Amino acid sequence: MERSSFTSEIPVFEIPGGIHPKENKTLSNQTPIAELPIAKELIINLKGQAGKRSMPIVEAGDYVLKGQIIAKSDGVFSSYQHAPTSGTVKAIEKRPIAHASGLQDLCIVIESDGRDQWCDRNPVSDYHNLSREQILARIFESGIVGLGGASFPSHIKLQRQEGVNTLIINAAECEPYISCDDRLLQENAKEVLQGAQIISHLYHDLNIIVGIEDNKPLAIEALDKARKELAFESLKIGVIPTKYPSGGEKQLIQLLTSKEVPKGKLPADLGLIMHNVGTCFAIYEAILHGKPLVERVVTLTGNACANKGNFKVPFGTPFSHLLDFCQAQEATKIIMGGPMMGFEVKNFNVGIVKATNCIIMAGANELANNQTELACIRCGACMEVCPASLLPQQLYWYAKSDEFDKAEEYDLFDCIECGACAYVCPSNIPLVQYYRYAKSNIRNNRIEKVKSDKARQRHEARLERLERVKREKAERHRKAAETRRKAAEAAGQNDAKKAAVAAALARVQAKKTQTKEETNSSEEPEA
Amino acid sequence: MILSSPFDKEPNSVTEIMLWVIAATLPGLFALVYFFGIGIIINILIASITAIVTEALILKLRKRPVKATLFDGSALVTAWLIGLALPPLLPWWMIVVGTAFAITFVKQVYGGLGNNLFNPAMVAYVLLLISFPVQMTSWLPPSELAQNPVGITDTLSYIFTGSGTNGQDIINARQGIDGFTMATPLDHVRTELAQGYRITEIQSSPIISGLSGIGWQWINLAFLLGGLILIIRKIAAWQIPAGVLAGIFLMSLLLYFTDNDQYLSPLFHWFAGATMLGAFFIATDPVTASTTAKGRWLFGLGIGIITVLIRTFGGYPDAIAFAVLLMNMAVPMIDYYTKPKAYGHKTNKGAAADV
Amino acid sequence: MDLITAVIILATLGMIFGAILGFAAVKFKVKGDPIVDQINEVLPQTQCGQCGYPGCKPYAEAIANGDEINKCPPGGEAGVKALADLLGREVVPLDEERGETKPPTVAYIREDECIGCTKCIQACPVDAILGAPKLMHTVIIDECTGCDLCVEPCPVDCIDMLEIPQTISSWKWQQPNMKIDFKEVS
Repeated sequence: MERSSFTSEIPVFEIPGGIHPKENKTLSNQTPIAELPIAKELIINLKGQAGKRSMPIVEAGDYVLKGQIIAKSDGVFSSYQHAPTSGTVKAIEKRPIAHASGLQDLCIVIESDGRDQWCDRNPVSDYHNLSREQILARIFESGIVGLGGASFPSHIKLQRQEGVNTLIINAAECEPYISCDDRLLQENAKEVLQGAQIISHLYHDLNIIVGIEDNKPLAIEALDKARKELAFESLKIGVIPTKYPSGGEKQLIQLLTSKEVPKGKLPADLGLIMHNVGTCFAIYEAILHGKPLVERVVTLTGNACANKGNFKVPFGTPFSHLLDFCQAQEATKIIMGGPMMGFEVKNFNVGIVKATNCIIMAGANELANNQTELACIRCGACMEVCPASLLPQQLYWYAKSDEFDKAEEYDLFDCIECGACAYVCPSNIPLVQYYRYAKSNIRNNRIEKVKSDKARQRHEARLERLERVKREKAERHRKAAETRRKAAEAAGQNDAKKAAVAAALARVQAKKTQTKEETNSSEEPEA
Repeated sequence: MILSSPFDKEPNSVTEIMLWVIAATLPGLFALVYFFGIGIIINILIASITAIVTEALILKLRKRPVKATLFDGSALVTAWLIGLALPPLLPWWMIVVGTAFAITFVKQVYGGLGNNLFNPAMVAYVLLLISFPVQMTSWLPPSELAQNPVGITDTLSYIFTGSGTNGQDIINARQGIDGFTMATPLDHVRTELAQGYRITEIQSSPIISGLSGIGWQWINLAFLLGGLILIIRKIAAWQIPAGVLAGIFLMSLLLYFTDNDQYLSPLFHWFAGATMLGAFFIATDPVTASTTAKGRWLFGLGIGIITVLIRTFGGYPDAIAFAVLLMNMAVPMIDYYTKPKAYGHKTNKGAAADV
Repeated sequence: MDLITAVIILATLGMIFGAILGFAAVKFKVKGDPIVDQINEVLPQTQCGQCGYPGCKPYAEAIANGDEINKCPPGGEAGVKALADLLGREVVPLDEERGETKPPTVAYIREDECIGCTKCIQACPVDAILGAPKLMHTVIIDECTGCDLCVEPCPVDCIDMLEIPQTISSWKWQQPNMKIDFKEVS
């Protein structure tokens, strides 16, 4: 693949590990970004971002315009959702979503009317007049999340101001096949940089660095040109050698600054924030054109895809619509995301989400792995390519034998699941799956532990309460008995008097009778 | 089942690695055959057949899939290394016993490929060495120095019947041109030193001439060449042979400086005995070696140092096998203490220490 | 004379080491949870009584006193393993007489059938059922441990144990199996 001759404007450092899989980018990056016919039905997943599920504010039957808010953010760590086109809300129900599990979640289903009519927009011509809070609020209400793949709500990332001095624009796009950021830069570098300027303005000027792999010569040229047009000379272009996974947030920071983000800390603790090319473009659109995030550039590629290229696709567009458009009936496998970190989609009636940067329609023998899993021979190839400097062979060993505490001791949670280890494993062990298995179990066990602790507390509280009730009851009984006893005693004393009186009376009587009966000479028992 | 990413896979396999190891031993094998006859090849053949049959049987007994694991090539590599390490003209049944023991008790009983703690080939070697010390130290004289060069039929006869085609004893084959029974250079030096000779005196013997004795220096050079191929192909971890050679060098240099007429030079150690075979092909067995970068250095250094110590002060002339096995035992501990510092951590102590 | 010296030396050494050990025992004393609490931590706290004891704590006490560790079906094989690790005992298969490990469930009261008898409320070990006499009852799903104990006492059989549906956040990756076909050998 062609490499750029552009020399990096900042020093570039090394990262450990990494691999060089076949790039396959030319499949899709040769044609301009195009538009697609709008699908009849759009399925908007309310949990399409990191954080909490958005709360729907429309009802079935409502008519919505493109860009109209259809779901609100549930708290700060969530996001707004907008109607991706005009039409009628058909249902708010559980539908299969674009997730590795293939499970269902709450979706808003919109039947498009084909007119694609925008709602009233509110563009700002000069954002310098807006306060930081106003700009942040606009970004928040425009539903902008990180478009690199993690879908982390952008307003949270932009919240913290103190100590931040550098913005890194992530244009590395290191995964094979994907070319949406490449094309976006080639065609809209100026807008992307304007988006970056808005972010910079939020912090009262930041140093801005674009981190980009040297396999995107045209994008680098476009950046350079746009920078001149905008008289934005302070922007630095950091050209990094093509190597997977250079585009990981932590890896790109290490490449461009030689610093590591300390465990448990954020890039902001190093004075850095990082945003993806697509996110910068989305911020530009939201502020200067008043367009909320309703579509994104998606790479449609793979040997079974007839219309390879990059397309602007509204969120919620079903995979089936895209597969039809690409005539991908022959596809052996549909992957959302790249071949290294994406996941297989099996139900095609799911809508695309904000994280959908690429759909690979694999043809025969493409991305097919038919080798069997063999025993680990501890060759250490995985260790050599691990960008986090872990010992994948040990993690595998512990994940396989369910020794999760040992796996954690070997820094399982520092694994970024990039898949470099599994890619090079000569025994064809699905290492990442073992790590995900261990991680999801550990997470679940933690939740279970919280639950069982609560159950124990409640059980103990109940036992205590029962005990207390019993004690109180016993106490009441004791008191009652006491009262009775006292009463009885009192009663008893009266009886005694009575008895004494009676006895006395009886004796008197007896004497009388005796004297009487002495004459009758008969004895009567004293009863 | 839902399969996780990655979906892309580098085209490589365990079998490929194993075949490369075997291919890389070929220069060494040719050198051995050149100097000691085809006995070595027969060793390898006997060991290979035994290894594959034993492995198949045990896999069947353990109810493991035979086909998939038998052809990973690991049993073949073990057999190949056993064959290369054993002296030529060793009775066939000893090879069978050694190989079968290695596959059964050292590899399969531990759980098969990837689970064994000890290097199977070296356990086989040590088992035979302590059980049959005479036969195991009976190396032939290099062909140029042999009084009665051994032909192909004689070789087969010695291996399968214990005596030559004319009924002559194996001692016959071992006679050098000077009429004395030949030993390996390391063995020779050791006997002579024990009798009070000095190194300078010993070196006048024809067997010790050159770098480390006729034959052996070329054999070691040939294994070095094959080993370098493994390193360049990234099939063996370079730190291990580097460590072994550095360990041997440092330890022998230290001794050499104290008395260069009593102790052998580092160069002699490097090119004598099984040094190169051990450093590049045996110590680098990934299953039983350390897997961390630093650990591999330590592992190699340990082997080198122990080898020189046993060669110099121990009871056996060569010591690669013992050194490898001793260091095999230390591998779990080495691995534990040489865990690399993960991204974003301050120390290499793992998740718990940093939080 | 030699004998006496030897005895004296050995005795002195014994005393010194004894003193060191004694000091170490006091100085480095591990103040851990009492073993019953540690066992109780491992048990799943469903309080279902399938083990034959009236709750998790009593079973923990019984284990501490030497009872088997395989009597807890809700804990499953993983629970047995955790207990075996904690106590240094052998991992044993679950005692099948105690029931089998089922996927987690919650109780659900069909409210229109409930007659408000409060029997289930009294049976619930974690007070997860709300209600009053003659009024319909309901289960606090988040607090329910799925122990089954409320089902039996209900005179009108209006309690169902429902499996907790899997959600995106509770979904787990499976451990890959050896993809080799094991039928080949059998």
